[in-house]
Amino acid sequence: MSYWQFRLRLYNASLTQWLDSIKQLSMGIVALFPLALPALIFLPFVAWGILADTSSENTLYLNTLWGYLLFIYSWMLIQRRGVLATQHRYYIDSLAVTDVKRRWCETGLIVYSANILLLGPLCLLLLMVYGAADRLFIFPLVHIVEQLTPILGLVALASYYSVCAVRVSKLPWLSLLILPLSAIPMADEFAKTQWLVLWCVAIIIERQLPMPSFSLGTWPKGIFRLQLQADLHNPRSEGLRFVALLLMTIMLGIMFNGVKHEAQSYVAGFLSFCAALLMASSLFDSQALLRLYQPYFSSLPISKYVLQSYCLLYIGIKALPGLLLLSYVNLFSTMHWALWLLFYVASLVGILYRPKWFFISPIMSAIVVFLLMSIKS
Amino acid sequence: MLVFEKISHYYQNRCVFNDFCLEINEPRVLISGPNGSGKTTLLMLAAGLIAPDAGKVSFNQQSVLTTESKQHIGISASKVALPGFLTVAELLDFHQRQFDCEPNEHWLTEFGLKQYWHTKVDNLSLGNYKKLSLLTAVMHHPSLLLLDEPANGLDDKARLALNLLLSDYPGQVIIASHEAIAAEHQQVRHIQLQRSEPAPL
Repeated sequence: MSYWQFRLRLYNASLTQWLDSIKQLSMGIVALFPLALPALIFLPFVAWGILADTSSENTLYLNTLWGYLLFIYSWMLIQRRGVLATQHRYYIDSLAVTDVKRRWCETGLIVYSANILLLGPLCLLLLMVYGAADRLFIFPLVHIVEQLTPILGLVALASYYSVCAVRVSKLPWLSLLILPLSAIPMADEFAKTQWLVLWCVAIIIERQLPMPSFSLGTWPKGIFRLQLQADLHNPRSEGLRFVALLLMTIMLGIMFNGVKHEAQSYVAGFLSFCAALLMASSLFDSQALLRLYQPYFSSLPISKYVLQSYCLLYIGIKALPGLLLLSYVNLFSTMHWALWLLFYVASLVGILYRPKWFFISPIMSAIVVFLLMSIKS
Repeated sequence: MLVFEKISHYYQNRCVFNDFCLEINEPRVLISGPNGSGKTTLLMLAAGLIAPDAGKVSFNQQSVLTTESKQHIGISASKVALPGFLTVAELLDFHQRQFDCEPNEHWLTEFGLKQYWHTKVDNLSLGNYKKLSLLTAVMHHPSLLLLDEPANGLDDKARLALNLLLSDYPGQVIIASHEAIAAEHQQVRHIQLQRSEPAPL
């Protein structure tokens, strides 16, 4: 077995482990939204169409670019351990393999794991260049650059974030969060090329700046601190949940602006349902923590109910950044906020009492709301 | 007084205790027995961390499963995993808040844990983890102290400190161990457990 084959085997084993761990959740999603899977598969194709088209609206372009880059970054971050073979790091380092060979293998694994998300735009770029080969020398250079810049930008940024997710431990807080959030409201102020240049500048700046860090100091105390430290110790789960919420908000935000006024309420209602489910799923982590240290928690003079109440309160506080995001994008009316609360509470109850079938209670409440609204109208 | 009343406890098809009765009045008790004889399970039952399949465990006439009883019981066992993502300082702070007590500075110094104040529990060595576990068990001065293999991983200095702690401890101490750690001290009741064989399927 060659070194490359060995690393590929390690990557595949890690991916299988990860897929096993999310099997239950995936089954839940497929059961909930049977049409979501084919739609998800076609989403990259739709995104490439928007991102390669020079005439697409700036807001739509920036929203799609942000969503695409956020997705590829999270996708690669999930696979980081497999690509770097973190679990077998010491063994890998003990092998007599040159640094160059190791780096090449890792780069190969990055391309292999990013797959269609990275190779798709690259193929599209090559096709565009090949298709316009006969016109390359007829049109002025400025025109050609203008035509190819959006897709070139996508290829460059997608490649950067694929590598960054695996090799750079610093999170792209400026280029993947602050910049897009502040850029979208003023998307028409600059041309696409200028936005891409700004994006690159943001990347350069964030690489120079230290990661914003904060110290907990002496606050909070007790069970809240314990839960917070557990989250900070393993931030992947909460981070990915927030990224998923961001992605969902971006995608449904695009849909919201694209549909007729009468249909907008349904899109917002759907977002309130998905957001509530996703934000409430944080309770799974708290329950897992309680299970993991069950003997220790049982040895404390706190009753199970008090402990559970603290958990719920902590989950409620953790939902605040998500709520801020939802209020920032401003898609909800008062009714949607009320629906969000209903679905959120229903999901929490489901997770507490029937964790395996937690989605039944929010679905039931959604059906009841839908029936009531139908009767009313 | 710790009382086990007609305790039955099973792990899948294996019966660990069947109608087991025991009263423990003595201040120092050493439980020994071969691997799998149920030493740790007995301590976990005594601490109220696992509920027996049948029967009742009480300490001073109070069921050990109640929240109130935890205030009077302290346990150090490898099965009682401490939250590894906290630093030593954070864990002790958390623990003292739950029991409304202060960590004993003397034992912190004796066990040499002060230098690991800002180390994550996960990053402690086996010996230092054991010391921390012992410290959390005695911190609230429980009337019943349950220790599972307390000398495991401890160096000579820490073993000396542990012996001192045990000899001076005012409450009832029950130790599950292969080693005769408590046997050096005054009047120790010795309880020998036997391993039960798995029942045929």
